[in-house]
Amino acid sequence: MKKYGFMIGMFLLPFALVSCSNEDNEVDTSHSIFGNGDADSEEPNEFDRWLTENYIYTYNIQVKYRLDDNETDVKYDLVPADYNKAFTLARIVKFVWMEAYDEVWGIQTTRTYVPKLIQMIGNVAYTESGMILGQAEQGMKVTLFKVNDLELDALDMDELNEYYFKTMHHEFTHILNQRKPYDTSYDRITEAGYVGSDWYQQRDAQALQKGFITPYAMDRGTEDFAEMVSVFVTNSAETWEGFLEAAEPNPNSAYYEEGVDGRAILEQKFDIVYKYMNDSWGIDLYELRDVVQRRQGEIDMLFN
Amino acid sequence: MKKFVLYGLWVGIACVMQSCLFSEDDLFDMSSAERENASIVEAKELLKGAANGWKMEYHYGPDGNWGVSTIFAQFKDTEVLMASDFTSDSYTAGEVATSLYKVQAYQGTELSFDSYNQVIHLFCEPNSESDPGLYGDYEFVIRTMSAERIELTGKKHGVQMVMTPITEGMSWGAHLQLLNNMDNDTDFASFKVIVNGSERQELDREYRTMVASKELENGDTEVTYHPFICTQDGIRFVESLEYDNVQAQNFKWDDETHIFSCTDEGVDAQLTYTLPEGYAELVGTYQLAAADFYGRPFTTYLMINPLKESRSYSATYYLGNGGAFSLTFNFNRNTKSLDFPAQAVGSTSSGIPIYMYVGSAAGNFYPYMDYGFYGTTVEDENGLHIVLRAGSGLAEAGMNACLFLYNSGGWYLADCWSDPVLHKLD
Repeated sequence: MKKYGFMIGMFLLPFALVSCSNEDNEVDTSHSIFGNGDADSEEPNEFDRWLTENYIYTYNIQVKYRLDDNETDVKYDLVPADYNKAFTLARIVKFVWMEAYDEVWGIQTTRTYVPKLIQMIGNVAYTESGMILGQAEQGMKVTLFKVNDLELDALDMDELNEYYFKTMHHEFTHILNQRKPYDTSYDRITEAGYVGSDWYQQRDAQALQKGFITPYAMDRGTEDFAEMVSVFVTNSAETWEGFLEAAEPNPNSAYYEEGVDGRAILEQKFDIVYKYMNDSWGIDLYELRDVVQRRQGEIDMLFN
Repeated sequence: MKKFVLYGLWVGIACVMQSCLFSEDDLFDMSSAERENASIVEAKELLKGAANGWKMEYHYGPDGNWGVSTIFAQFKDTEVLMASDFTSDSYTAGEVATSLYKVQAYQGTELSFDSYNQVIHLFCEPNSESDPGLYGDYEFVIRTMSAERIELTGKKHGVQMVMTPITEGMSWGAHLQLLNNMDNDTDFASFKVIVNGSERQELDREYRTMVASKELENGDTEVTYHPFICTQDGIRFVESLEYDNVQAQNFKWDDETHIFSCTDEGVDAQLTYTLPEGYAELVGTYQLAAADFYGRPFTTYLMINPLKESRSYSATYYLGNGGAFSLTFNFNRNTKSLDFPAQAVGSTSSGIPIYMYVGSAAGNFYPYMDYGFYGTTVEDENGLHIVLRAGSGLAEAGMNACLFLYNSGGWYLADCWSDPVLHKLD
């Protein structure tokens, strides 16, 4: 026994004599590989500092106004947003979108559900069925396209509404739907009327007569739902009523279909939309519309 | 003794079982992250180091086949000032635009113009789903770099480009304007290639490239592109034209004779401007016959004159109220007829632009510059007639009217030519 113990000891002895140290693999804490001349080490500019204060600290949102290849689909030919236009849009978005929701359900709720990344793109993404003005992905990211079409000297409210505000409310509705789904009976109201990617072939009047608030609403149920919310909050009560009137059966219209009452359909859809926003999110759409409309009218104050 | 040997063997075996597992020789002095960072720092210093900025020979078009624009770029810490010799609707040659840039490690060391600059991004923006524009890149992988030369590859389209320092003291605006002037002065539609006194082929010019088309035996057309860059004196082909071992790359332009002459030593080659067949025949006075917005036929007169010889014509359309539209027609070399693209034609008394768009008398229209009218020339006993029809299937869909429209809180009609036909009078 002693003999075997000695032999094992002899066998193990060389291991004690050989160390596996390799000084080259020790961590050199005196030299960091970060912040050495790359983009992360750049001095923040005025827009960066404003975003830190107004988006990151306030809402924990990162706004990417410099085009990041990783955040976009390579199949689209995209160009970056213009610095000044992105800055202006960021100010408008905060005032008209986020702060409107702050007023209605409190800043803490906005912080909870608002997407954590907003990407700004200069142009639109072209597809076979038209232009993509905005995208929302899994509640985490919203992409706003067409930023470079903003005319800083002549902010046109109708254009801002059509290309930016409506898009933002539309995309945020998707995000809310992704968090809490809406009643699927909504999709069955005009199930046969959805035309998918051929929506761009429909006219506004045609869509209304069929019970769709816009031609894009005819794409599918989820887009229909988001269009209802976004069109409602970004238009005045009078304009909304105008849409409903245009949807009433009109035998003189080229798009009239006997037995189809577009207005009744829209009102039925709106009831579901209103109930969803109220019950699932505590948002009274009428109140939200009033706040959004008021803020849209106050945009000039941001720049004067 | 025996035991000593035995135990010694055990120790020896144990020793040789030790491997150099954790001991490897490094191939590089620094880690990959450190080398990446060092490359970024070096690239930024080189970019900022050129006193008068860098000249980029910017290739555009599929595989860079549509030509080369000269872009000047001066790099600061985070901003870049850029200007080019390329003119578009939104950019005038020589105008300086400022934006942000960055150098980052991604697929190698990358130079990215990641905030909008109208100088470079006008090459990158598509016009529609089916029209990708000029196939430009704004992100580049840096292949090699030194104070004298930086070689880059466009990240999306893979086209190789070169940057060299701009001569100190050179005026950006003046130089780029000279190059732009050369581009315009030499912008004729076709040239004959003469080498050692004999004609070799005809080349068509599109953008900044000379295109050779060759009919193959199977009926297909083989197209070869010869892109070039404008110089102060003429043009320089990216790759030499080659005929029977004669290589011709650099050409000087004569604005009086409209001839390019090769300046390469010992090379006798010229590119001689040739008026395309059919162009001159379309110049003249026409009677326009069309219907107005209410379907009522009317006639009026148009004098069609050369605008850019070999390429386009101009005409003035006089309105009944004293106003007038300035019209541009393009010469289509394939059909030997006139094309009438969507275009800006004038403005209202309050300065609102008026456009000609493809539409219908029912009021539908496409407010896009991609669409237009294509002429078919017919000759009969009554003379020469040009029938204008909307392209892209729109005429077949019932949209065959030239609508003159302006947007003043909604679209308004200034005039309408439905089913227009031009009858040549002289």
